[in-house]
Amino acid sequence: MKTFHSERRQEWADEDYRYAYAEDFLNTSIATQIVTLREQRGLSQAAFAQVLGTKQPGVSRLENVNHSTWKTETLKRIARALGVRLKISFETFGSLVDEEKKFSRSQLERPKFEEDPALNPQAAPMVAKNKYGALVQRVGSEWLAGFEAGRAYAERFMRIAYLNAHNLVAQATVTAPSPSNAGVFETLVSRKPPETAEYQGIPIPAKQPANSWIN
Amino acid sequence: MPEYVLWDFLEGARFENVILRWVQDERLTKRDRAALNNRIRRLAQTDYALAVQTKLLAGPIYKHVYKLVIHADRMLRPMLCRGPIDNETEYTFLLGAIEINWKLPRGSKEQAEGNREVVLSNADRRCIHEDIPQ
Repeated sequence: MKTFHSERRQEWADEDYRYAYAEDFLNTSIATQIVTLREQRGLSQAAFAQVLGTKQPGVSRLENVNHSTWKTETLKRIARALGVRLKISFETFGSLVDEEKKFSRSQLERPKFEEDPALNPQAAPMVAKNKYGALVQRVGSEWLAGFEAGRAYAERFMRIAYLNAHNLVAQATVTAPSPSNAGVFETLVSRKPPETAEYQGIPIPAKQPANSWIN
Repeated sequence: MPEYVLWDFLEGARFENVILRWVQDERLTKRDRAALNNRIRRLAQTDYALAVQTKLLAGPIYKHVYKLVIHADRMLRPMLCRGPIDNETEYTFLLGAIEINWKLPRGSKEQAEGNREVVLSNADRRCIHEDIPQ
C-alpha cells in the first residue's frame, strides 16, 4: 500500500508541477489562515479593515485563495493586527506533506499574544473533555463548561486546544484531578461520536444530551 | 484528515470519469493540474463556510451547482454540487469547464445540474474522486 509520502514523491517528481502545487498551496493557506484568525478574534471584514487601515474590499481580496501577489509588508501588518507574528522560511517539499495534513480551520487557528499559553499559561484557556465527552475550559482559575450546568467530571483533563470564549456558556464546578480516571481522556478522544465538529484534530460532540456529564 | 468525501460523475455508456476526461480533452498544463489537485484536496479539508468565505468554492451559480475558481494558465472552473446524497459530508464533481472572458461555456451549468440529477437517480453514476494525473 502506498503511503501519503510516497504518493506525493511520485506526484511531485516533475519540477514545474511541484512548484506550481507548492505555490497554489501557499496562496490557499495564507488566505484561509487570515479568515480563520480574523473569525477566531470575532472580527468582521469591515472591523478588520479598520484595524489594518484599509477598506473591506481590500480585506476580501486578501482572503481570496486566488490572491497571489503577497507583499511582505502587508503580511506583517496583518500579523500585527491579529496579534501573531509572521514567519517566512524556506522549506523542503517533504514538509509540505505534513502541512497539507494540517490544513483545516482548527489547525490554522492561533491564540493572540495575550492568550499564548507558552507565554502566559494562567491566562490561557485550557480545554478538556470530561468523562462524558462534554467540553470544559479553564479560564484563569475558573472552569467553564459549554453545555448544561452541572458538575463537570474533568479529572483527566489535558491541554488540547484553545477555544473562543463564545463557545462556552455556563460555569461549572470541577472535581479535583484523580489518578483513578487516568486514561479516560484518551478513550474519549479516540472515539468519534456522531455529528461531530473537529477541533485541532479532536472530535467534539455537537450537542450534549441533558445531564450527560453530571456525575 | 479529509472532512468531506469527494466523488466524480461518470458519464456516457462507458461510465467515464467526467473530470479525468475533461483534463485530458482540454490538455491542461502542469500548472493547471497542480492547482486543480491542490484546490480539490483543500476543499475536502475545509468546512463549507470557510470554503465559501475564501472563494475556494463559489456559488451556487445555478440551482445546486457550485464551481471552483482556479486562476492557473487558464480559468479552470470545475463544477460540483454538495452531496447530492449527503450534503453535509460529500461533494460530487459534475463537469469540467474553462471560463473565457469570465463566462462559462453555454449550457454547461445546466449540464452540470443534469448530471447531479442523474446521480440522484442512480448513485452508481459516480465514483470516488480520482487525483488528476500530473
